Amino acid sequence: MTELRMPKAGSATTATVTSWLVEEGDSVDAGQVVAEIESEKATLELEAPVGGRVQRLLAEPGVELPVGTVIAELETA
Amino acid sequence: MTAKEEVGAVSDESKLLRLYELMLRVRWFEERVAADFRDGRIPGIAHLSIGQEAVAAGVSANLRPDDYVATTHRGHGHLLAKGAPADALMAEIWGRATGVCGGKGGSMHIAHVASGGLGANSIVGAGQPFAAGVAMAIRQRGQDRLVASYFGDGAITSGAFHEGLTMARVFSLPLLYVAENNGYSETTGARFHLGTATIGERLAGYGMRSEEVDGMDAVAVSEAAADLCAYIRAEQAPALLECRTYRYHGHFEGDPMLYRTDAELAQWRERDPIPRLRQQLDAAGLGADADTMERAVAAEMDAAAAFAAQSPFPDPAQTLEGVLV
Repeated sequence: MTELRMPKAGSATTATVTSWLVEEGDSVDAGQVVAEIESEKATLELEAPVGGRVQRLLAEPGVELPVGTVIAELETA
Repeated sequence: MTAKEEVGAVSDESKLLRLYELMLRVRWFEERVAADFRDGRIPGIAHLSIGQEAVAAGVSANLRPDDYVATTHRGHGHLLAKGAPADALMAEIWGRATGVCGGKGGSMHIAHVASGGLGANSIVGAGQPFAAGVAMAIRQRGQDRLVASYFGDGAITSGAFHEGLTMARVFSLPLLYVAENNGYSETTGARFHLGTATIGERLAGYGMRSEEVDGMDAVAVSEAAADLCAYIRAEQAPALLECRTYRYHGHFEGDPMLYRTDAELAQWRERDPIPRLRQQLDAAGLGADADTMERAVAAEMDAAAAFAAQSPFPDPAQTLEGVLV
């Protein structure tokens, strides 16, 4: 299992998932963009670090969370 | 040109391996920083030099232990290549008490004076006046040392930068100016802010001896740095080494990089200095040595990250110690 954490952009200490681009159960490839993230410093795309199946999406879109918070879990081989 | 001629002044096997080791250490150190930064484990902000390692390696391979380096906001690699210990450097970036500055400097004010690393500087173009001051001190003390002063293409638009170069020129100080021309001043392309095709043209009025090299080729950087360092020591005059290079990551970690194309990044990655030197090592029959080195560097960086993660934060009671207030 691989945890995806709320990414830190620049000096921002919190960030928000604006939208998930995948659903639980979807298969994703390494490097695939899985979420759009917004923080005070930048808007960015979160990529899956490895390929796998999306097990759980833990961040509610629109909710501001501390960077480093686990926001999704990928089931990896 | 044969492979041997190409290697030229650094045909010596140990020097090729040394360049490879320096680049690997910088690359893998910074890849650890990138991963831990993204996960929110590192405070503040970080600017990484991933892609630019041939410059730090090629320059540092020609500096003596008692020479100095003065660097920029993108300076971890310069200090590491000059000889700062990876573990205490990493701990500093993590803001930990075991860091080279007790955790109070962080990424952009990191320094390790014992190895000649005078420090990073968070202000673009602000390093040159103080590098000139250190070179002036060398002169007044009659020492045989030089200062390598790194800057990016963006620094040239700053007034303080020119004050530093003016001092170096007028007093003919022992300074190696290392221009890391990575094509971007933060998010602005050099074609919009430089005004000339090269940094050398822009700084021609300072009348310095200058060399322009492929900054994605550690051997080329090292050869040019060797020539210029010998010149500076012999003539006691400043010189400019311009390295055309590229950073693979953003201006800062988390930079969405909307100002450049994926195709541009891919073109530069094809010229990556590390596999390029690895091929030369393999061709020279040094592949096994390179493998051993890779394992050692990987272990060193794992240990550095673990050391930083396990180290305590500075004691709040000591907030005002070791800082100027």
